[in-house]
Amino acid sequence: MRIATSQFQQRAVAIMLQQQARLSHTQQQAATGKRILSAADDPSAATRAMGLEREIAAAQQHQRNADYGYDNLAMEEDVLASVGNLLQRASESAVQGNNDTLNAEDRNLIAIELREQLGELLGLANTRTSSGEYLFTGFQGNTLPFTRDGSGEVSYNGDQGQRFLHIGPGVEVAVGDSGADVFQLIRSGNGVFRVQDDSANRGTGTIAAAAEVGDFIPDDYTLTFAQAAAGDPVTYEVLDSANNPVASGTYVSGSAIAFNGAELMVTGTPEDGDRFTTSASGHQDVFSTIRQLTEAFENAGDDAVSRAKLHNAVYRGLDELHLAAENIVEKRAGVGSRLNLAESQKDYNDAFLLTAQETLSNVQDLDYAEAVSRLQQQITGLQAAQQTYLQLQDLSLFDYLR
Amino acid sequence: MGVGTDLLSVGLSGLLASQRALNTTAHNVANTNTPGYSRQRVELHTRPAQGAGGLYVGRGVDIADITRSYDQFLTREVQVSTSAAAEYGTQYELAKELDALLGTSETGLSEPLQAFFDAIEEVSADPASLAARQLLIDQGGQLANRFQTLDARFELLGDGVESRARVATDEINSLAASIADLNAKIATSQGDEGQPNDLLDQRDELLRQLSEQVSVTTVSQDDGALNVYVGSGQALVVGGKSRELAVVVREADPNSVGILIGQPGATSVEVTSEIRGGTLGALLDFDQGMLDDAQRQVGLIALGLAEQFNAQHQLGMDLDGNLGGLFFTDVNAPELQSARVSGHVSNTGTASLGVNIISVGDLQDSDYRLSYDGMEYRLVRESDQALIGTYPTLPQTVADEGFEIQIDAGAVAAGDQFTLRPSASAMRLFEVAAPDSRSLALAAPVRTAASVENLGDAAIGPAVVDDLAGTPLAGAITLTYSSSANQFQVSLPPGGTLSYDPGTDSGESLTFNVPTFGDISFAVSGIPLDGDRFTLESNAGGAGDNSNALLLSDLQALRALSGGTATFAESYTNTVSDVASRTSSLERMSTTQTELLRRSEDARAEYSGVNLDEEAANLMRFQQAYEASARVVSVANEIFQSLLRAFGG
Repeated sequence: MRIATSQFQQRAVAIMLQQQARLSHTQQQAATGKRILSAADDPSAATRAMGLEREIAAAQQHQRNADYGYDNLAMEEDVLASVGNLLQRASESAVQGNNDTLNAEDRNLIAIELREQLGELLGLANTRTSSGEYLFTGFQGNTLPFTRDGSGEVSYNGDQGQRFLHIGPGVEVAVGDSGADVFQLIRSGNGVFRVQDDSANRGTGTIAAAAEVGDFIPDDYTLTFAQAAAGDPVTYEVLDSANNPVASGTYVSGSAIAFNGAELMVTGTPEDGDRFTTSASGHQDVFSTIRQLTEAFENAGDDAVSRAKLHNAVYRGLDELHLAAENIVEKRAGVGSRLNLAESQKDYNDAFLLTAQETLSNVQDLDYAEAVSRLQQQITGLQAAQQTYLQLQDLSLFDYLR
Repeated sequence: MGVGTDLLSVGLSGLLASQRALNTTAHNVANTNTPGYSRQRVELHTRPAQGAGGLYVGRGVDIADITRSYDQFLTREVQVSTSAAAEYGTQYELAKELDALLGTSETGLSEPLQAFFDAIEEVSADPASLAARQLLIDQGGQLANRFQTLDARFELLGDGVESRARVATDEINSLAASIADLNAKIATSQGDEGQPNDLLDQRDELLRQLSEQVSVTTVSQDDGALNVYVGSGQALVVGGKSRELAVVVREADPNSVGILIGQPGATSVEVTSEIRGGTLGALLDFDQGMLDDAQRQVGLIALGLAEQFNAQHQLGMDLDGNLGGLFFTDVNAPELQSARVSGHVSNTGTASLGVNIISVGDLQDSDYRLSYDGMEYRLVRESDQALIGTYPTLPQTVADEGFEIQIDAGAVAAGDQFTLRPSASAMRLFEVAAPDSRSLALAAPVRTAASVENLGDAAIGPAVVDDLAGTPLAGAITLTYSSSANQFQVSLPPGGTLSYDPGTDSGESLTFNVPTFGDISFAVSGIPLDGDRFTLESNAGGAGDNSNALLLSDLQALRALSGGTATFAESYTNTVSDVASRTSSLERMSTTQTELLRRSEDARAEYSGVNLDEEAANLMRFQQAYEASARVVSVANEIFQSLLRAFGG
């Protein structure tokens, strides 16, 4: 085989250039730490790396949302716990004040206590989050949710919206509750019906307990006591809204009067014409409940009839405070389970990020040990090519033609 | 004839032959590194012997010819390999640029797209924050900027292709002229004895250089001239005459480069689709292939994103209680509609057409050709040459392909042709249209509430809206439940009733239409009591509502493109992956072709190249022969002298 001299040279140079190109590639890989310098180096790995980078960025964003949601929910839980305690204290105050031995001054102290508790509750309901938004205002972000007017009535300015956040792929969590759900949409009375004594009552009849027995049939019922003459037995009659009698009998203090699923235990001595109305329970906000209790203490007198009115108001108020507290407990349970969800999703996100980053590293990062040995090999190869080239350069027959 | 003169003449013939051989060796040594040079050698043959008395007496040597070590097959092989190596090398080089453009985070779409959707998630945590809202606008701007930059870079690549095509055609034209010139010279020197070896070598070398620019075929003529053809038989050189190539904008596709061929100064026939191989073939391939595909695919992403994002954004409510407007440029902005159609230069009609996109998801990854023969319009999809339809008139809806063709002005004449490219200008005109951070519609436009006076426990879910007319809900709508009729009485407007049976409808979606507003859907769950009320009202002031932001964020996972098979990010990854694997396969092919070229060059060099050791040996050989012949001459002289002395004494 003949070898053309120029071809011999060109080939040697081409090989050295090729070696240098490989060396430069390895050098770039080592400098950047990346195995894939451009997508074309390994299209399938590069595509996979792009997908992973996207998933990692999304997971990091979900993690930020989960942190934010978790903080918000943790704050809400704290506030709900304080509200629960406060309602407990309000109940205790009411029970304490419901004692016939207290005088007007004592009752006034109770009223002041309740009023302070109402203010405290209002403060809790108007809590702001770390980003300056109100916690319990629904979607109305910067609107003060609860305001009190001159007459002491508290109104809600927010709405019933509930904000959700994405904390994982396809995972949403509600990061709050509206003020309406927490403080406003609470059942009145005993949760099924509400008994109200007539303000014109002259006797000492007191509804000591009101319970649902069977299924309460929603309607407005009126319980009216009658006594033909002093000394006669006291009788009662319960009429529904269409004036049809649903129950009647002779009144015995401490015994139950039952009708259409309601059972009222009346104590004391009602006067002729005293009335109690029973109607299906609606909603009453917790502020109204406390305010009504406060007013009952403020308006109470020392006579038996006034005391009976106070007792009626306190029993009803305690029922309603109890329902409010139950609502808080329920909301806390909801917040708690959402906190759990957020926490487990955070753990999941962390684990995912760890695996995804590891996979990404496997996919695109350089194996340094391999790269360094490859680099060494390539350097040796280039050196060998250069040396042989130099040595072969000296071989020419012309050198001997002299 | 005497002994002395015979010997002298034989010696002289050897002297001359050796001299010529030495000369040729020197020529070979001198041309060791001349590209395309074929080593030459002197062909000797014995002079016919002279009959003398029944004996044949040798008369020395004659120079028959000086030939070149040339093998037509090997030379042709080098030309073909050169074409292929230049083609794949150039394609790989261009593909690498595209690959780097799309695949790296600094220039690709992947990062800003993700950052944009991250910003939506970010603002959904704090929708009332003007800073977070501004961030979303800024990230939208970054995304738009990246689309525009990509578009500009695509254009730049296209411009690069065009200018390189000009350089290639200039080179081709000058080579063709030189070959024609050599043809003429060879034809005149042909006919003498022997071959004009160096001229032939030069022409082969020029052909090799020409092959580097474009693939050619040759046909030799009787007079030694070589006719050169490009493509499928377009003559570039015929005998001593050459034609020229010129670069133009392609009529069928104004985005691409076209090639014309013709007489110098009068190029006329378009041969774009016939040009194959070499640098020019690679440039044209890349221009109409990878570059065009990538441009179209990324353009479709821009369109899809704008379409989907705008549609959802317009179903939201902004901080000022207005319904959402456009977030990005409208996909059917008039400027975009007209940019999608380009009429051919030869059209005689006056029509200006536009393309209105109905659904980006239905758009195919292709351009279309619309032609009118005076009777009907034919629409052909370029990607598979499928006939989409024939239409008697315009405008025309092409629902399956996701667009409609409009006629904005003028009239179409018979024979007119138009190229439709739905993704045209989509990247260039992709901009954030939302004026300020307050105008971002992140809230739902309608909020729902249960009345606190309700006796029942039924709850109402969030309202979902559709088909909005553009103005917020005017007044609150109250739904009052009637337990006897199992239905809600809807207050005026719109009035009417919605039936709701707590036993079966709980949690199911209820929908009704409010004139001048749109459709509202919501779900009621639980058991309402008679007279319970729910209200639906405009969500003005709902600054903390992120409902629509969550729906916007959901678009990230929506398979909105390629007929519902790919999300925006996936679609982009597909494009990158497509470019990357094509680049990678081009790299392999380029390496293979370079190796094949090296082998064919080696094969030719083995046969035709100059080996200096061989020449050195020849040099010695011919020098010795020369010296020997000189000795013969001197011996002849001595013999002659001896003779003279013998006789003259």
